[in-house]
Amino acid sequence: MTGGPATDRSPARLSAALALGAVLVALAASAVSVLALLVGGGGGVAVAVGVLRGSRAALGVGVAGLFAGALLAGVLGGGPVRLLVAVAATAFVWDAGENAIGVGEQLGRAADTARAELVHAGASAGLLTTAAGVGLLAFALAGGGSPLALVALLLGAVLLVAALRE
Amino acid sequence: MTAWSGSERTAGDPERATGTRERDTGGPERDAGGPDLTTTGRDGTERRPDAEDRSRQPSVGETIDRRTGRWRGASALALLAGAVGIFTASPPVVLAGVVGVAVAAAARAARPPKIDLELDRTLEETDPEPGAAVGVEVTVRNAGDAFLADVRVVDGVPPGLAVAAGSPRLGTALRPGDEARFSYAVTAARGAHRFEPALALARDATGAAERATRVTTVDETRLTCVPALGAGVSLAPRARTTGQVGRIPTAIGGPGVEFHATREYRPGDPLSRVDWRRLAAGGDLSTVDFREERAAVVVLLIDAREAAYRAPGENAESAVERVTGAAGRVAVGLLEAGDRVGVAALAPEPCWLAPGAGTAHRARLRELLGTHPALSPTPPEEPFFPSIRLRRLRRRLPGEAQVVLCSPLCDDYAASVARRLDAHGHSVTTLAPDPTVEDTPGRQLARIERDNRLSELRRDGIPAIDWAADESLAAALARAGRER
Repeated sequence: MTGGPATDRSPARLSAALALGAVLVALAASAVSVLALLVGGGGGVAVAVGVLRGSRAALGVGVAGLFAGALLAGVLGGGPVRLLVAVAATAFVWDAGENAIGVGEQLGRAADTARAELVHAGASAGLLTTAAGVGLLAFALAGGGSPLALVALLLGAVLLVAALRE
Repeated sequence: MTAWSGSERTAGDPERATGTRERDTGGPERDAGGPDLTTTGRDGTERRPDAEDRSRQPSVGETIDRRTGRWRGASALALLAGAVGIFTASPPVVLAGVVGVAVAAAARAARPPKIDLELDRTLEETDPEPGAAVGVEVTVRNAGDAFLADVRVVDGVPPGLAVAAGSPRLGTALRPGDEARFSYAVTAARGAHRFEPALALARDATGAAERATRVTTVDETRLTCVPALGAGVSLAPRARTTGQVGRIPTAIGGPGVEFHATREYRPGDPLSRVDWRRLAAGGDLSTVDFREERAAVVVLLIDAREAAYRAPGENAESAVERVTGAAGRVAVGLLEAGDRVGVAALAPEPCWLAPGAGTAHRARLRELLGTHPALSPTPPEEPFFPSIRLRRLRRRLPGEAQVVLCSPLCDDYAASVARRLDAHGHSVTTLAPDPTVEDTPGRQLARIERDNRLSELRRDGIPAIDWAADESLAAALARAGRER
């Protein structure tokens, strides 16, 4: 009949661990001021609650906190590299954390999901690294007053318009 | 009646059933199985995945494409970064928006991957004993030419079987031609079980677009578990008999054990029954009559309507499950005593085994109790038409047949069947497993109602055997025999 233990639907361990690792990266990158670190740290705690308890709301609040911390660090004088690393890591926290919750809900802890999680995390990491790299390149070019910066900005604008049509 | 905890289970199922019906009608825009990517295309208005849509599962042959919306808000954060950067005149902050824009663009460009999976399922054993753990091994192969970055497979475990070990689910990534394997074990339970198509869900690498479909195996996987009938128990039939010799004492004099009367000798009386003592004492030649013992025809009527699928707890046996096991043991007891036994069910699906005796009949009985769809371990989804079923049953019941109604008596209909059959001359006995519990006021009320129903039946002269959840069948029958 319907006997047997109920499926454990808590978030997948691997992706949750990856998300928490990315929280540390984001915090380390935005550690230019105490205020930024405090805001980001608050977000990190919320992320931990979210991925351990399976709450998307807590995860979302935490990611917003990390993002705010990263922006604060940028405003208070962190360099572009730190800022891009922090923001990319924040995006990765959301991606891995949400994936952990989703995999937990759909497949449960007992299922073998490591391969799907790793491939997903790898793809996201690749995308975010590329985006941050392109951004950094554009910044470096713009700083040098090169005309290529104009092309990069134009490309960025096209991407933005494409995204906003959603 | 929602008063039993078991009703949560049964109440869930009809909902699922209606869901299936809705699914069958499908949406006109969803071309069954077609690799139509324009459902959520770039020019059309994209459907926001609302709660109902996201939980919807595809039926066989149907493909559902969805946007997961997990990157919604990324572009807003990018704009926020831009705005903060402009107001604070800090270029690096403006730059941070690039990440958000890139993610939003990637999510926007995501298309659901094409699922072309081959599924192969092997069972360790297809005819296990009840309670045995049966290993199931499932192989999933990517037969398409697309890389599936995130594919989730949920195997279609039959609703009547519980997973004993492992998980019937897998999350993996498959290159074209790659295969992945997972295994789990189910606990064999009574019934003929059919594995359902597996649910496959594939997402693109960003997780923004997903496609859900059902994957079938080439051959249907079946698991049939027919429990033994078990040791016979004696349920004393009521005094209503056939012409055949059996064990129920009648009011008719003849050969037998128990003294009935003496009467005048008639030519042709067997010599063994002549009262020689009386003759020796100088009296007349007389014959002793014993009470004749005759056989009964008993039809076990199993209540397998949806209302009978009640259990005292989430994981406890339902009343139908208990009663099916009990019917087997009662039937063995009756057959061993020389009675003729048949089986019928009050269920949407017709189920009838004419009364009979003998080894072949016993085998038929075992097969029917084990695998008949009317007695399946999960509640029926079709509607039950009470008057039609009862009319058909009465046409089939032999005139001299008694009925043992096996029902939890959780509603008035079951009790009314007992009364009506009894009124039509079939002596009715009810065997009522008790699925009620007392943890909430509603459930207490349901228990009281059921107790009243049993009392009223007894008052009307219909024996009602109350079989508690923690009691053995033999004990319940013995208790009922003493009380009678």
